[in-house]
Amino acid sequence: MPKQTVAVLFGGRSVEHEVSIISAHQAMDALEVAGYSLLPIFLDKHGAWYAGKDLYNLRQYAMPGFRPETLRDAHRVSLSPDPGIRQLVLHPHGAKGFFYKPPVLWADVFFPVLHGTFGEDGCLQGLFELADVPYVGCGVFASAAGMDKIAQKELFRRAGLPVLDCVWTHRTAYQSAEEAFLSKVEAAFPYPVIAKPNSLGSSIGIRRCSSREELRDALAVAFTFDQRVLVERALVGFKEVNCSIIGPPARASVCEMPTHEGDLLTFDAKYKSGGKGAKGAGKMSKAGMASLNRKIPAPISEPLSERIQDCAAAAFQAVGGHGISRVDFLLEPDGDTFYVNEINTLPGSLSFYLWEASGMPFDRLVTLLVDGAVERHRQSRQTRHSLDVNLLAAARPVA
Amino acid sequence: MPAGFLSIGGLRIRYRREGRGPAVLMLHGWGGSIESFEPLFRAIASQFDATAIDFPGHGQSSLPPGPWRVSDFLDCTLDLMDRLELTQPHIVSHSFGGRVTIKLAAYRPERAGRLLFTAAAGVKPPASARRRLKRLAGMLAGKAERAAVRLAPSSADVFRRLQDRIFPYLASRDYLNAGALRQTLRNVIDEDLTPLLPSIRSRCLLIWGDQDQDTPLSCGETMHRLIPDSRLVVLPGAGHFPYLDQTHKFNLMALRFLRGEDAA
Repeated sequence: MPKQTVAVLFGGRSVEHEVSIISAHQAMDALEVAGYSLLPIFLDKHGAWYAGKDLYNLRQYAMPGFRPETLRDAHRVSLSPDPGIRQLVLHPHGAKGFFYKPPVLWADVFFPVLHGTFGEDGCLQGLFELADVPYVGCGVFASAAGMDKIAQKELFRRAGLPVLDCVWTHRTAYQSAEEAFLSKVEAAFPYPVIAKPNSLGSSIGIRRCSSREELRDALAVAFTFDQRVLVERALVGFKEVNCSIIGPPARASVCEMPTHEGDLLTFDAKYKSGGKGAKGAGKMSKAGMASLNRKIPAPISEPLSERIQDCAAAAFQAVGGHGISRVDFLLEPDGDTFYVNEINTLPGSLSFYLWEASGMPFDRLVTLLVDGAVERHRQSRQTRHSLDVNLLAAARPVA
Repeated sequence: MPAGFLSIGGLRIRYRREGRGPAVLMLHGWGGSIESFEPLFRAIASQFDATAIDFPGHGQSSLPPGPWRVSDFLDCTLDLMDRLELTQPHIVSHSFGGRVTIKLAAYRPERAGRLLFTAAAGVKPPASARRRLKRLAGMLAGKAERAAVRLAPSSADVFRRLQDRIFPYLASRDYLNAGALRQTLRNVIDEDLTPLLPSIRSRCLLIWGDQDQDTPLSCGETMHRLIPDSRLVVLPGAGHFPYLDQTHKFNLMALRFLRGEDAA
């Protein structure tokens, strides 16, 4: 059987750009070991796409002033929404010199390893749908729901899952009635509360507040990251438990418990922890999400772990998940009550460390994901999207 | 018995053993020790019964009683395998550990499972221009010394002092650090194991860095050509320690091979 080519997309217009680069290199390692040939596609912070073998080299991204256009095998391209083209389109100004021979770049399967905006939120998935290519992971709706904390709370609640209540508002609405919203929050929950931008992951812009003034500041910060902000009751002394799901059919990994200082897992703790003590701040931690301090399996009772795994699977199904996700839970100090906090449809490091601990090596995991993508695409081909009848030809002329 | 010492032929040999599953034995390179394999050892121990050892004269194991040859290291390793009841382990070997593994696989095929060689020694690398120049310089210096000493015996002392100054530039780092093992290292390096390669019957995975200066990629290519059931994987950008240079990929590849999911 000829080797399948997998295009791995990473970087992107997101605050999690660097994390994505690390996750993607881990995924590319696994794909190559599993026997796929690779087409790395790097999306820079402005949204430009570059494709070519030379982009698979983690070290170069740590260099200050790295410019992908200077690499020999890296070409400025884009994916056309026209399903008939079936090759990446070269940028009109992307030629490299007079003797440049434009390569034909295409892949059998597209594998987005992008976190956050424009990669994990359904935008890119929409482009894949238009281009009619098989792609790994959640579809448009599940991705969009996974990035929308307010919407996913509704979906989880309807699926009978435990979630924390929230009060939310829109930036313009808040600006016109600031005090009214603050009072609404205070009427709903006692302090401390937590303010979160609706759509960001990686704990960015999230603050805990114990007074009206702190809440005001926290909302100002949160609104710089998103148009909608939600406020919920802050749990005191809680623990986090995460569980990864692959599917369909949904299958749960072992649970993990991240361990860290303070009440919130901050962006720094999540992604910069590997860099401490290393050669200065410029050094990139190769381990990414996998390097975070954590306990695997989570030190919780077997029945609780099973309940959490069941809820994680139900949350995955509630958003219509596909491929891989990680569902994060908040566990009350009583060690028994828990809430679904959020679902990540493109989790950091693809949660491979959880699957390794569940007896599924990373190379087997990526094979499963690629096969799943091909199968979903085959299934969707069996759905009719247009009719062969030309309704206009049968209609009587209007004039 | 997770870690400790075993007495083999009067020598104290340190070993470390962790994990459950099929047995894997890890043999380090010259100047290395159990610790050299740290990240790889942990990865392997998560799925296998992993054992790493300090070769005699390395790490915390005692020195060999005299100048040894590769076959002495092999005998010692086989004794150790008996003591630890490793009947037919898979073997992961780096650099000098590769020499011992080649001999083991050629002479005692029933004791060798799957073999992962990385930056393995055993095939004499083609002498680089630099190495040839050094060898020529050493030879000329020797000739000059003998001639001068014949003419003026008092110059012997001057030459000895000169030699101490120049020698570090001509000898390999391993040789300089070898201390009491210098003659052993000489014996080891002088032995070309290429003729044994075609008799290796085990399935082999060879992992090489294309930037390897000590056992250049050509050594890996020779091994791949001569070992019947072998696959060569080149890691671009990696040097003589591919399992440290590209740990994540190396570990994934090693585990896949050891599990037997790898088509050679």
